[in-house]
Amino acid sequence: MSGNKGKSFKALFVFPPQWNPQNPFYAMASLAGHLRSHGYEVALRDLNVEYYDLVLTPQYLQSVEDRLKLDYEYLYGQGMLRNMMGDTSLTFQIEGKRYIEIKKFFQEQPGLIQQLKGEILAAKETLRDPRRFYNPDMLMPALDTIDSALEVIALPYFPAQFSYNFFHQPTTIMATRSLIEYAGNRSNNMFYDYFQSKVAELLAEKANYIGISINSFSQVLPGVTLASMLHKAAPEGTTVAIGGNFFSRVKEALKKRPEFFENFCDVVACGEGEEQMRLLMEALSEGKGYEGVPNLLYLDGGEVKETAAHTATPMDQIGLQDFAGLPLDKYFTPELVASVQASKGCYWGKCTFCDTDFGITHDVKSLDRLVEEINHLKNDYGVKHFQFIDEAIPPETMREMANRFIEEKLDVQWFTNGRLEKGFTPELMQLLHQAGLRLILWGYESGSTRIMRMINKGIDIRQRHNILRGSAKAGIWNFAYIFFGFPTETGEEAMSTIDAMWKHQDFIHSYGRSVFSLGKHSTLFLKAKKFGIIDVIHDPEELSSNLHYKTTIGMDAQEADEMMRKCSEICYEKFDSSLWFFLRYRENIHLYVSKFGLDYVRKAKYKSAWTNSVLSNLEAW
Amino acid sequence: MKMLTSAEVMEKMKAYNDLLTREKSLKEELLSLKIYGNRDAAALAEQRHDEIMGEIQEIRTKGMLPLIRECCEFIAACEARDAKKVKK
Repeated sequence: MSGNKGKSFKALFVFPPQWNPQNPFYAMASLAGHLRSHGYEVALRDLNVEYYDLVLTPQYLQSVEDRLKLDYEYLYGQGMLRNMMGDTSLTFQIEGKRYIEIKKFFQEQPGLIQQLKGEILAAKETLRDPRRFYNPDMLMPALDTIDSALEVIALPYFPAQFSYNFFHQPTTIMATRSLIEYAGNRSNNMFYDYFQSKVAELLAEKANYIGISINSFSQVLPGVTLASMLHKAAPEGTTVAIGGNFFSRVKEALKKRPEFFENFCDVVACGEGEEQMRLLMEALSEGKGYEGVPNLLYLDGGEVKETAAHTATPMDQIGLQDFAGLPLDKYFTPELVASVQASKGCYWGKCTFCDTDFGITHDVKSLDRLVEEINHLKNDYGVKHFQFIDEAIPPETMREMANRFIEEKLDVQWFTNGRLEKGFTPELMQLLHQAGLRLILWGYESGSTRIMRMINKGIDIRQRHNILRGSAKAGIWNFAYIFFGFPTETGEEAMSTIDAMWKHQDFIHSYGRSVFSLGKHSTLFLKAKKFGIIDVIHDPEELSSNLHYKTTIGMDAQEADEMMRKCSEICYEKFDSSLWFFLRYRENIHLYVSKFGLDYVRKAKYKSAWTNSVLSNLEAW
Repeated sequence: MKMLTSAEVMEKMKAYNDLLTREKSLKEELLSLKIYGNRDAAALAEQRHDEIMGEIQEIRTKGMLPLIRECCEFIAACEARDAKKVKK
């Protein structure tokens, strides 16, 4: 195997906020495993879970209260002054609204921060301690405390929103100049001071290569803030790179933005990373340039250059995941739920709205390799729960997996995504349950036959409820993904989706809803007019992978949002305080179903004083 | 006391507001030192704390107070002038 070629070479991969802090992120562990298997030294820092662990402390909450008092004092005086000066700037308007929110907070919840200070450490420990986690009367108040604390923590940066599952700063758009401004704006950036305190520590690793992993919208602003600081402070010869799924999707926009590289990084690594990173480590350790490494963007002579694409390495040749260096005791879970992949890309790949496997090369991991990986994580890290992050696994593949898991006596429990196709017979569902499957996240999408045809799901809609019945009978929890606002969807059609959820509680046990967004790489966008989409707006959000648009008929974005809220309200009432609402996250539902069985979780009720907190968290599914 | 034009008054208000913004930013940094102050770099943090306090003091004594004094003199001069006009 190739290695350091006689010269030590070290990579540091950093995972910035915001991401769910319950479990380690798959790509980090996969990258580390692959590079270490080739002899490279790799350090991992999960700054996301470290951030949550820091801010959910009495000391930090006290600093938030001090900051709110400071803002309250200054924004009022400055508000008067700027009013007299006739200031109509956006900054002034935002600060005015911030002042109003802070004033409202002090008037309506004067003792909240002191209360949270007293509860927060116990709340965190409840999430980590199995004896407390599996007691709903302890878990639910702990989740409520954490939700409230995170809301308060974001208040000095209003209108920023920050939660377990979400971060958004509405005043910053996904455009390079806005990202540059945000990254340098200490007063408006809730991650700025945190990252500044970490720079020296990260550089003390003396890594030759620092990779910042940005995989979703919620990681972009914090990620570029960190990148900006490291890019400025890193010593000569250290490569600072941004990788991950997000920027791969807006590669064409990045090629027109040399200032992105001037401000944030030397390299953007697009596409699938394991073998690409190995080639990059090899090139850098030999003193070579980027040209021979596939799928990179970098600045050269003021111009953004792109290296050639290449065929991704087969999954069976990628090193096993390696958690070494991650703070496993900090994750907010009583038992780790490790992500694994049996395959890459969606085997159907024809849903018109979907572009999640854009840039992904389809591949299937051999059963031998999959079992080897599961055993490795079980034996080395004590992991007994797994989440398959595949887009979907075909029924026949699941059958082979189940037979093998039973034969190997793996004794693990797992959950996965699934398509509601006829191969999922009642007999197969029984086998899957025996093999440890406890929850399936089904692409249910819509209750409307017309919308399902337009989605081109490729399933027999009339049969999907039979499949769900068979799954429920086998003891498997059925989670339905639904969404509102598919182009031309009417309010009536949206209501049929809501009705489908609450009318079939005996086999649709929970759901997660969202609002449709038009992906730049989806069939819908490529054939917009056919789907009644007009006026696609290529707006100034050049780095967003979603587009704004109008349709010929049907709901607009606001109406779709309203339907999502209606769904929460109706279903919350119809499910009659079902426990699963309060468990909030799919990992928690999986752990509870694994521990107590389907029937207990399905039938258990919970009365909470924090209904609004629950409903607003459902929006983040 | 030279009478100020409205543009000059606006300028002084802007200058004062900028000083307020700077002072607020320094106080935010003080709060940040409490959370992120490194035990290993305690001396540095203490030094920075003193620097910040010093700068806030300067902002007030050399920045804000002179502006306030000027504005007060200007207001007093206007009031005196208006009082004379009333007597006439």
